[in-house]
Amino acid sequence: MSKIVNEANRIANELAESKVFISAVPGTPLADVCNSVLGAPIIYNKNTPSAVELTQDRLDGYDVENTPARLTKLREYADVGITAVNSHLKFTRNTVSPVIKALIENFERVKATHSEVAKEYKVVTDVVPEPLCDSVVLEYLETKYPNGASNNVPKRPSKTRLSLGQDVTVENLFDLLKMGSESVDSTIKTWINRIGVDKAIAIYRGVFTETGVSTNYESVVNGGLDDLLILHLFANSLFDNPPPNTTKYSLVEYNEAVGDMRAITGFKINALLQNKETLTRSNLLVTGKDLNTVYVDKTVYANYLEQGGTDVALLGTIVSPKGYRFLNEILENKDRLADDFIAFTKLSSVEESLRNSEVNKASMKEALISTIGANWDKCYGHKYPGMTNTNFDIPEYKKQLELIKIIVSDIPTNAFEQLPHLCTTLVCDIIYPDTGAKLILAGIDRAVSKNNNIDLDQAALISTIEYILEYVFDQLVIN
Amino acid sequence: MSESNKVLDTSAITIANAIELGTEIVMGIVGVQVGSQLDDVPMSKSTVTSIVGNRLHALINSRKLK
Repeated sequence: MSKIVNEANRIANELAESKVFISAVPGTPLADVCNSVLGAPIIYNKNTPSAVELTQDRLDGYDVENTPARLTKLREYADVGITAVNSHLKFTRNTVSPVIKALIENFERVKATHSEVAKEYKVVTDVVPEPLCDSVVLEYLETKYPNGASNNVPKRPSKTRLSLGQDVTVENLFDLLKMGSESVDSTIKTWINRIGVDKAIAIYRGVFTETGVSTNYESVVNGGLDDLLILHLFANSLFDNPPPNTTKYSLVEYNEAVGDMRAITGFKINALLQNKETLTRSNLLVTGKDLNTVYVDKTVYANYLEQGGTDVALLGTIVSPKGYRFLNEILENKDRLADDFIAFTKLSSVEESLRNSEVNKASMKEALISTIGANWDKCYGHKYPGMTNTNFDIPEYKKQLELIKIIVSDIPTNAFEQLPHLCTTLVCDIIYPDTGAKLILAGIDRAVSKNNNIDLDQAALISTIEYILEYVFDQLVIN
Repeated sequence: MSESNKVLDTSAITIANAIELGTEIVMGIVGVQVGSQLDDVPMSKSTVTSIVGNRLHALINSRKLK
């Protein structure tokens, strides 16, 4: 007890120097304990004594340590406090925290459904698939499909989608792409690994099974060299090695469909290769573009960079109405194209930021409502026992919805950068405003941010002590 | 004892009881944790008393003008 008396003596002295005096809020446990020592409540007098008048002897004169009534009351009230604080800690841990976690997950899920893929502008060089740089493959194509550049186009297959009853997997993919030469097959493997096995699997499924969705025969034969060569290799392999369980088609039907696919893709590959050489010779730099990508000829692009061309200027062709595609015209207008692109991206970033803020708020509103619906018992079970989450048509719930709208619309834009903190605040303010959850969780956050190497258990300990002190402090009057 | 002395004594005794009440509750709640999960954080009753005293003093100082 003497340690406590010393602490109290020190604090009271320091406060008295600033003319600050402490008493207990009447009717509180602390007031009751103090009264058991002091007798009748004190009447305050602003003509205060100087701090030096307080001595250990006078404090001891109250016989604080040995007052049985005080000790009994103090232990009783401490037990009440322990029970209350423990119950708040348990409620925060078992009820409030899971709802906050659910809100964070729901927000990210809802936002993902509302957000478009972020725009990333890029320049992509047309790379000839590695197998088409192999003389064995080139000779094979030129021998088998010699009229690639002429008008002698092979006929369209009568069937453009087959159901072969055999799926492709990462394990059997390369068997289905083999040409039979060890070195060529190795090159094919390198090329497929570079462009992604998923692309090859999607083409197989889109043409030879009924499971493919986004890729089909038309998209492949109208695509680039990669797509055409993949389909050609599949058709070439399947023509020679029909799947054993393909009974849906007669041999004639099968050979015709797969053979026609092989012929038309071989023809188109040859045509594109010859056309590509012609276009490179004519200095065609931009071979294609979409909303965020400019495709360029690799050889002409190298020439362009050597002559001082930049990627920013090339990206300017996305937004320029002029339709520049050739080396010279892009070099001549490179500064203007670059300026156009920079102005466009600045405007886009302002629009994007505004749109992102709206998406964040709309997603948070939706996530809050869905979190409450899915966690009704945790959210309102303690307030409305027996009520289920199938009956939201109650005035209290409608009031909550209004509150959600108001609070969410006032969230500052940058608050979403600290999502866990934001979700904690929203859940505590909207759903649990009458509990100690916000104080406890905010205390943990504060302890973590103030102490770099602290673990969560230690942060929780610090927060608990602070929470208990708030409980004690609320029973003090500062005069 | 004069009235003015009583004011100062009341202040000291209220603070003493507040520290003791806080210490008892902290020990009652975190004492188990200190013994089991946080062995590397020695927290005797004397340490807790100091922590509670200091934090209570800080709380009073931070809010005395409000």
